[in-house]
Amino acid sequence: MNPGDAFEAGLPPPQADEPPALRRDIIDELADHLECSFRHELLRGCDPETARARALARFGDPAVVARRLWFDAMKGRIMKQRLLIGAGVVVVLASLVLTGLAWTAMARVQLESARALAASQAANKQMLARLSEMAESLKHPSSPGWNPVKVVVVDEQPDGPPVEGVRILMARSGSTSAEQQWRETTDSQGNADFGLHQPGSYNLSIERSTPEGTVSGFQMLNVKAGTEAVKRIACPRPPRKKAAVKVTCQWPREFEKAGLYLYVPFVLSARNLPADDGDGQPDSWTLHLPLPEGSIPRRFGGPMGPPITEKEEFQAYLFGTDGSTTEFRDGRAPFPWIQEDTSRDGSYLTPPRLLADVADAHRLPFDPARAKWAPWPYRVSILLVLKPIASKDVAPGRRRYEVVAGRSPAFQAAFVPNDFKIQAAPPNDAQLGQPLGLIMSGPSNWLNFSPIQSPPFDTPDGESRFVPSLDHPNEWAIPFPDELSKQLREMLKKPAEQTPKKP
Amino acid sequence: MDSQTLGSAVEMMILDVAARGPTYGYELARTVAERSEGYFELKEGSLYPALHRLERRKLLKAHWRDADGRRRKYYEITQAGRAELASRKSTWLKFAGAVNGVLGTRRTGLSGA
Repeated sequence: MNPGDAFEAGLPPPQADEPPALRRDIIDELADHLECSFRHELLRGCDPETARARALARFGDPAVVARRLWFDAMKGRIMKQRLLIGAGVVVVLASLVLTGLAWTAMARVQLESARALAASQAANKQMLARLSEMAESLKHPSSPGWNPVKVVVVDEQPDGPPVEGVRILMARSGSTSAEQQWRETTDSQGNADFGLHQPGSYNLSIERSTPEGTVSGFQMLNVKAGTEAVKRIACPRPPRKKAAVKVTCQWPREFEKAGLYLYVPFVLSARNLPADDGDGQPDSWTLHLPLPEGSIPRRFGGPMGPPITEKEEFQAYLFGTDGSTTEFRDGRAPFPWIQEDTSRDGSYLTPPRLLADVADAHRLPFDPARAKWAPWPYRVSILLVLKPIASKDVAPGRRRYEVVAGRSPAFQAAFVPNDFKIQAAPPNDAQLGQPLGLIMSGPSNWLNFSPIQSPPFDTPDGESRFVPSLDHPNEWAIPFPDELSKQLREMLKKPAEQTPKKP
Repeated sequence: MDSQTLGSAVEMMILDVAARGPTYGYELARTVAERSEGYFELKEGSLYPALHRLERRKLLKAHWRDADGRRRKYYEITQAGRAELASRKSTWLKFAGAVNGVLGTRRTGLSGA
């Protein structure tokens, strides 16, 4: 499928006043949708041709959608053009009427001419005065065309002390051109002077790094004509200390003898601080903790994005129905993989099973002394129920589990677990040692796969978020969702699975 | 259901899903279909005009991220969007409650939240 062609076919020819990124943005957004839909159909067992047809049937006519989005975006400009044309026609007609009147009343025309001359002289005088004002305004730093832009970064609170060394990338909204991007670092007064810029909307990417980690955020800046734009940002500091945390999960009694394990990863979540920029929205900040020494950081969203890490990006635990609690060393997850029986053309002949081969070396009994979390919001990203299975082809030092059920919290995607991409063979230790790029991107056999096709759950307190405190003991009991119990009851009723085929 | 009512309901559902966390078009379409248990099986492409309209009205804000080597546009609700959502939800629940009352099908547990 080349969805770009289908979308482009629906778009009118490029207009002179069309925003440069409009066409590309529309095509990229809709193409991403179709690709996700296509992959979903593949995972449901369709062949590629059927998958394409179904994805298109659910989407609608791509050309129509693209054209509608283009016209909605260009509506203002098109209407303005039509108004100008209409105004021009009116002016021409008015001129003809005036000329006719002047021809039949010469005296009146002479009088009118004299009056018009006086009015014209007055208009010229006004225009001269206006030109003088404009010349004066050019002396002032804020001219209508080019306006000073400054960003001031302070610590934690809007009235906090200035922060030196914060890196800021400013980019013109809607542009991906490197020529529309500017980088500055704050000085000892917390100031980053970006110089003169034209009015318009800009995106700010902010990054504050310390030895303890990096905090990053995104904000908007609106530069208005004739004014100096000063954006004041309260940026939190990466936490210096960590807090001791104990996490527990109580399995429902009905499953106590089932021999199952609940995998629960806790992901660093965004921290919201009140903003002081008048738009009423809190500023959202993301924390990134340092990689092990020698690791190469990957950057989220491309080379200019904030760094992402694999180590300590999340904490992860395994709660057994036998009452055991196991912690994953360095936060390494049991990477799920699909066991599939594919034909030569890559289609699925049987529904895939989701397995996880967990290295014994990565699992440790829970030790309160080691359970130190950053005092920053964490959230449960997913719940997976694992069932140990016997297999002859599992690598030495590993145990194999099947993912038999799972749920995703209310604020996470109900359909696709964003934390996992599944590959078609068990991962090895060399792959696990790589940074988070293993999860965020990979070769073409990586698939977005969700074995969990059920609505999200809500915890009793409304959110599955936890913020450890340095001031008091931290204990969080994970609620076991009723819907997950229901899934498990259904699963346990089914006959036992046969031994899986070799991948 | 007439198109104007449906359009307003679609916008409200979009804002509600976005209020729970950053989302993108495909994910949003699936969430709406799933949470409505198939009642709102809209043409997925029809969500995008509504998404862009909400973005132009500053009820949603958007940013691009890299996903699988593609550009993906994520939407987040703004403070104005949250206020709009709360207002529409309240109106909708009052309307639904009033109609149910007339039809004699009023359910317990309905709230204005």
